[in-house]
Amino acid sequence: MTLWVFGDSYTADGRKTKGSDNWQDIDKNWVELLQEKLGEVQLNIHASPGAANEWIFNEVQEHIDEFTPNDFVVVQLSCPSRRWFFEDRPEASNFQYSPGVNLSKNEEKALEIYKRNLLNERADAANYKMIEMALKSVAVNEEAPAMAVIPGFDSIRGIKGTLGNVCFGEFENQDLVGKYFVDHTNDPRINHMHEENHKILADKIYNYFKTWQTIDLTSDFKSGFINSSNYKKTNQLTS
Amino acid sequence: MLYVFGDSFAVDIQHMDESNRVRELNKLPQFQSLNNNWVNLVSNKLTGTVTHNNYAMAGCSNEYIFHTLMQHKDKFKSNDCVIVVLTDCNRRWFVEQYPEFANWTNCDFDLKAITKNQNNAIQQYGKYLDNELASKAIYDAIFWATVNVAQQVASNNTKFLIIPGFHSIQGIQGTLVEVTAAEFDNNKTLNQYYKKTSDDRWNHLSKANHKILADKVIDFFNDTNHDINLNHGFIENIYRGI
Repeated sequence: MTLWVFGDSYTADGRKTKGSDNWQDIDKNWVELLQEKLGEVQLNIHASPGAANEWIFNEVQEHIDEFTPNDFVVVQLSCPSRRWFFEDRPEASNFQYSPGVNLSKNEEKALEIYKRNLLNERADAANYKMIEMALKSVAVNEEAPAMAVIPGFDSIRGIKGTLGNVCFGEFENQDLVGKYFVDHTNDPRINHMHEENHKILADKIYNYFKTWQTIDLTSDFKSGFINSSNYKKTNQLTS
Repeated sequence: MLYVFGDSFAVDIQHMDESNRVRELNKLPQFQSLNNNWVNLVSNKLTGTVTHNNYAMAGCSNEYIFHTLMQHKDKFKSNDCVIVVLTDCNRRWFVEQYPEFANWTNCDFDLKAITKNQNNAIQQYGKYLDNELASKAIYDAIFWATVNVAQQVASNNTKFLIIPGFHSIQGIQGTLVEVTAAEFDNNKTLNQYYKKTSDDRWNHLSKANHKILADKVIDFFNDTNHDINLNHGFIENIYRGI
């Protein structure tokens, strides 16, 4: 049995992912906790911080023939506005909100012009919806493994809230979020959440796999503990 | 009722006069005369009237096709038939109000509609940002998402057919672009014809092949043949050495 996990920085392995040097170590992230709870399962992660849904879906497609009915699959969807422009650099997809790294001058210029002239939220929404529904098609196949689709940023049918509720819910107020990301260009929280919340998230996904209990990402999580006196710290925000 | 979603392979023939006016302005030959295209023939046979709901748009992308499908899917009723023609995976819906300007690989866009900056951005996209694997992922996603819609409405007895315009899909042999290309005896003839006429065939098909395609689609919806083969049965080599 294998636990397959696909996603972006909400899912990436903090110890192996490049560009995550400032992630504060915790005992286990939600993926490892979920693996532990599921018992004798191999872990197979395909996640990259900054990745777009096209990349995530492509990764699912690349491995779909390896899925067996006894496997577990978690697909964590990313932000609809990201685009997988550079085949070898999926991490450069969050072009609207993160400065591009490892881009040529021409690529940077093309991205800048794209941002100014070609943003189309309707097309982004259509892409997001089609990937969500395509994954549902995979999930209803009679040979399909148990599959959970977890929204990172925009809600989907069947799941209450998004991982954004967990990540941003950790702040005492939302005004702090901007200040926090000025001080921490890279979020030091592994997968953007406190260690306690890793445990809660793992429990919720485990319960979904075992009892089909609806996943609610809007309640039960540790919240409101990042405040104006501690937001500049690093490790105490994570564990 | 018949619902149609797609690109120029499925555009409603009632837009021919309007398209001919644009062609006249651009000094291009008029479309070949045709009373009923394959979609009208299908509609007439299945519903007794050529009147149908057609949301196909020439030059659009798969994102737009899926967007229109999602906008209208809740209207499908029992015994309705739905056709979704998928387009080229490289097309992108760049500018929200101009979904018809998605075919950046081989069309010059109307600079009276989109801005110079938008046109420049599309050219830069083509040079530096286009990623074939991402396009393929989106294409696979629209196929499986459309299958999911078809499964949802099947319980309501709505019949659904996905036709590949450019890239093969499970369940159908061939693509529409292969039908259209096979009307020429070789690529040289095809290229010369396109240069001369900018393709004057409505839905990129000659009259005889509209009828053949319509018959295959009708057979599918009537459950008399579900194996649609777009590589077989069409008239070929209509255009020779122009």
